[in-house]
Amino acid sequence: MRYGTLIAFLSSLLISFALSFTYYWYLIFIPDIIVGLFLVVRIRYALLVGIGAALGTTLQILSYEGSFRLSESALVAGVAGIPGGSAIFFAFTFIIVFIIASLGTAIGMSLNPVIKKREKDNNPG
Amino acid sequence: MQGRPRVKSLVVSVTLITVVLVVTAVPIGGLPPLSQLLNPSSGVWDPHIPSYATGVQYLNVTVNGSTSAIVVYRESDGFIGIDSNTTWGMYYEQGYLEAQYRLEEMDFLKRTALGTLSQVVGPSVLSSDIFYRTLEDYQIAAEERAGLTVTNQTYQAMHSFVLGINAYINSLTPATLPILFKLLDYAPHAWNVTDVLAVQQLFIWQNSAGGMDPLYFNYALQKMPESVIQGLYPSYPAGIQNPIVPNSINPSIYNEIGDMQNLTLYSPSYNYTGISSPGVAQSDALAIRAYSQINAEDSYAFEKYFGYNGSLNMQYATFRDFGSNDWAVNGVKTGNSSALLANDPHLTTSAPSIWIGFQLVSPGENAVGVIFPGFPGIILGHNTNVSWGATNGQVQETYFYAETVSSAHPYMYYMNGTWNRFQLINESIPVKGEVNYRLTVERAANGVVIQNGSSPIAMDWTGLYPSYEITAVLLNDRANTVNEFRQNLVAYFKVAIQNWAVADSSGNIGIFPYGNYPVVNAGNPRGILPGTGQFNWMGFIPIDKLPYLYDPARGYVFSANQITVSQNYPYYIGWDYESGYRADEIHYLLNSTYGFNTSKMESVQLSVHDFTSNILLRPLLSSLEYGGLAGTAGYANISAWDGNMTVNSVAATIYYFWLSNLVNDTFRPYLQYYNITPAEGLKQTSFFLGSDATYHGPLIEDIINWTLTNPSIHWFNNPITGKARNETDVMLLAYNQTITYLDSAYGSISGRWEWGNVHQRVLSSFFGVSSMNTEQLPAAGDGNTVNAAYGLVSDFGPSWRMVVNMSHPQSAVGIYPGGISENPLSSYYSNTFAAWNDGTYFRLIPETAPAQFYTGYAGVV
Repeated sequence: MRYGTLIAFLSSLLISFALSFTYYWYLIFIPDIIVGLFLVVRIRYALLVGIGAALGTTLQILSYEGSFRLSESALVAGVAGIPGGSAIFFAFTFIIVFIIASLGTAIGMSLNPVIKKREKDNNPG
Repeated sequence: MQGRPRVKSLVVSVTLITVVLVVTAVPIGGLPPLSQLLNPSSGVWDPHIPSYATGVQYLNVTVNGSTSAIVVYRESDGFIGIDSNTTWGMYYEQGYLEAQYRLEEMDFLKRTALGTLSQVVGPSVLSSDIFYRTLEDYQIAAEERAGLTVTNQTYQAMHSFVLGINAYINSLTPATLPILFKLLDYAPHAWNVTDVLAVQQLFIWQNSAGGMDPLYFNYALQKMPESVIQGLYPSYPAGIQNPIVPNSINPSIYNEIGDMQNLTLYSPSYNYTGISSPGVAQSDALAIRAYSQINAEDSYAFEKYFGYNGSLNMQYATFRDFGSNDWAVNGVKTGNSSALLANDPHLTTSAPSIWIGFQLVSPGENAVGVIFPGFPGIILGHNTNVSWGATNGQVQETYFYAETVSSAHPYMYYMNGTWNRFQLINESIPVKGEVNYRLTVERAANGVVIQNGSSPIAMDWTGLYPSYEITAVLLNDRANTVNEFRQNLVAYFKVAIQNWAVADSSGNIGIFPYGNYPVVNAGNPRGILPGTGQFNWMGFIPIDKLPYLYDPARGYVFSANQITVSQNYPYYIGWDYESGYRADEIHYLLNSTYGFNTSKMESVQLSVHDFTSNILLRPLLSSLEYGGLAGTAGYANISAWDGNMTVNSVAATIYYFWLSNLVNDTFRPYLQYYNITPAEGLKQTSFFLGSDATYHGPLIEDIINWTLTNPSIHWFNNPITGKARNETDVMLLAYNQTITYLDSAYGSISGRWEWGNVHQRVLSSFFGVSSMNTEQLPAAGDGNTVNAAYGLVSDFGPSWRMVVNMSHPQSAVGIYPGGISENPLSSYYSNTFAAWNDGTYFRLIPETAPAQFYTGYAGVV
C-alpha cells in the first residue's frame, strides 16, 4: 500500500501540474476521485494526495517566469488592497487545490468496495 | 466478496466539495471569483505583457480585400514609427498599437466618456457616470457621427483606427487580458466611431476652462461688498501682465464695440441659496450617498469577517489640466535663419502617461509627436513643414443659469416670456453589485441642468453642441504652412480653446487662441445668470476679432495660460487666468535672448527660476531686517539665493512655504469674515485659497500688485481682529510660521531643508491605484517656474516636452515621462521618468530609423 500511496501522490502532483496549464485547474478533484478509488485507503493518505496536487500547482506557477508571476500577483494584491502581497494569493491557491484534491480523493475512497469490505472484516460485530 | 461504498463519507465529501466549488465560483466583494482570479493559466499567476521589442517589423494588413504594407519601428524611448503605403493602413496600425499597449487606459477613458464606468468599478465612480451622462457625451457624439458621411476623411481615419483597435481586442484570450480586466472581471467591448467622438467630448471637457468656478464665485459676489470684490477680485488680472495678444502688437482686434460695456462684473446677477456638489444634481448627490452607504455597509461586513473590505483601492480621476507653456521664435531672435517652437503641456504626469508617442508616415504625411490614447493622429508635434504646440486658453467656456420653474408647470422652465418644456433624456446606469441607477437629464435652451431643486441651475458649455476638433487634428498633421494650420483651426477647432503656437519651415510663426467665445449682453457671467433669456449667449466673437499674432516684429510669440488680451479688449472672455509668472519669466528670457537654437530653447523650457522672487525677495529681506532676524541662518540663506528652485537650495524651501503662508495670512481673514465655507469652495478653488492659490489666480496677483504699488494698502488689515497691518507685518508673520513648521518637520535648519528633500515628483497611477505609482524623485521647480512642478509631491507638470527647429525638423527632440506600457511590471512602464526629471530630451526621429521615416525631410541631420 505504501507504493500505492506514493503513486497516488505523484499522480496527483503530475495531473495537477498538467491541469494548471489549462483553464480547468480546479477540476483536479475528478482525476483524484479515480486516484482515491484505486490507490488510497486511509484518509490521511488522501490529505497527502491533496498536498501532492497543491505542490503540482505550485510547481506550475513557479515553473517559468516565477519571480515575474509572483510580482504580478503582488501587484494585483496591491491594486485590490489585499494585505500580504503575493503570499496571500499563494496561500489561497495552495489551500484551494489541497482541499479540492483531498476531497476528490476522499470521494474516490468512499466508492472503493475493497475498503468497505476491509472495514467490515476489521469490525465483525 | 465485494463491499458497498461508504455512504456517509461519500455524502460528506461531495457536500464539502460542492460548497468549496460554489464558494470559489462566486465574486467576493469587488473581486472576481477565486477560481478565476487564482487560475494558474489565466488569472493573477499568468501575467501577460505585450512584448515591446525595439527595432523594425514588417507587416501586411488585409481588411475587406485591401492590403496595406506596414513598417513598424519601435524605439527605446517608447515612440513607435508607423509607415504605410496607405492612409487607412497607418491609422489601422495606430489603433492596433494603442490598444496593444494602452487598452486598459483606453477602456477607462471610453467608459468615463460614455458614463459606464460604475458598471465595472462600482458605486464609487457613480458620480462620474452621472456627470458625463448629464453632459450628454454619448448623445452629442452620436450627433457628430451622424454628421459624417462614410466618405468623409475624418470618418475614414476613425473607422480604420477602430478596426485596428478591434483587431487587437479580438486577438485577446482570457489569459492575455490586461490585469485590470481580470481583476475587475470584465472584457473590453469593441470600439466604434461614436466611441472615439465620445472620448473627444471627454477631452474637450477636461480642457475647457471655467469649469464650475462661477457657482463658487457667486458666493463671493453675494457675500462680499462690491468694493471688496473690486479690491480682491478685479475682473482684469492685477500686477505684471504680458498678454498673449497685446494691444500694442495687434490693435486690429481691439477696435470694435463688444459686450464688456454692458456687463456688471462686481455684483451678483442672481442670489443663490444652495450648492450641494457642483456638477451633480442635488437629488443625484443624495442617491450617490445612498449607494455609497450600501456599498460601505457591505464593505464593513466583509472586512469584519475577512479582514479586507473587498473593494479596490482606486481613486480614478482621468487627468487634470493645470497649465502649459508654448512659444515660437523667428526673425530677429534667430538671425532670420529659422523658426523654432517649444511646447510643454502641464497635465497630470501619470503612469501610464496620458500621452502616447507616434511617428505617422503615409502618402502625403510624415508627422511625429503625441496623441491621447483613444484618438488617431498626432495632436502635438511636427511634420515636414509645420510644428505646433498648445496651452490651455483659460477662456471661460461654461456659463451658468438659474432656471425659473413652477409646480404648476412640471418639466418646464420660463424663458423669454413663455413656459418651455425641458428636453428629457432618461438614462439607466448599470452599477456593479447594485441595481441600475436611473437618471433623468433635463436640457433647457441655455444648457443642461446640473443641479435641480426649486431653482435648477443649468450649465451652458460650448461643448454641448457638435463640433469636430478631431478633424482639425488630422488635417493639421498634413498642414504645410502656419496659415493653413490656422485655417483648419478656424474651420474645426471650436471647443477647449487652446493657444496654438505654430512655426513653419519658411520661418513664419504665429499663435492662435481660436474657438467659440460666447458673448452675453448683460449681467455678470463671473457668477450665475438668471435663466430668463436676456442673459443667454448672443452668439460668439466674430472670427476676425479673435485674438492672434502672426509674425510679430519682436520675433516671438508665447503663452503660459496668462491673460489672453490687453485690458481694453472689447469682449468678456473670462477672468480667472494663471497668475502669469511663468509667462513673465518666458517673456523675460525670450526678450533678452538672441541667436536661438535648440539648446537655448531647452534652457528656457527647463528654467526653474521663480519669477515672483524677483519682486518679493527684497521686501522679504527688508521685513526680516525690520523684525530683527537679519542674523539668522534663514536670512543668510535667503539673502544669498538667486530665486532658482533647485534641489539643493534651502532658501527655495523657505521661500515656497513662506509664499504659501503669505497668501493664506493675507486673505484667509477675509474669507472667514465673509463666511465663505468649505461647501462654498473654501480651499477648493484658487480664488478661495485652494492648494494652487500661490501660482494660479487672482490672490497671488494681488499681493504682487500691492507690493509693487502700495505695500501699506488697507487690504493687509485683518478684518476679523480689526488689527491694522502692512505688508511687512504679514511677511514677518508668514516667515515665523514657516520657520516654526520647518523646524518641527525637518529639525533645525540643515541639509534636510533642501528643496529636493522636501519636493519630489511622482508618476501617479492613471487608474488612481497608489500601488501602481512610480518611485518619487527629488525635483526642482515649483508652480511658478517654467519647468513647473506643482505641489510638494508633484504629479502635475510638463507631461510632454518638445523643441523643434524648422530648419531641420528631423532633428526635433521631445520626451514624455513614463513609457509605452500600462503594466507596472514592464520595463517600459516608467523608463523615461528619471531622464525626463533630469531634463533629458530624445530625438523624435532617431538617426537609426529606416529611410522611409525620413520621407519628406532632407535626410538625417
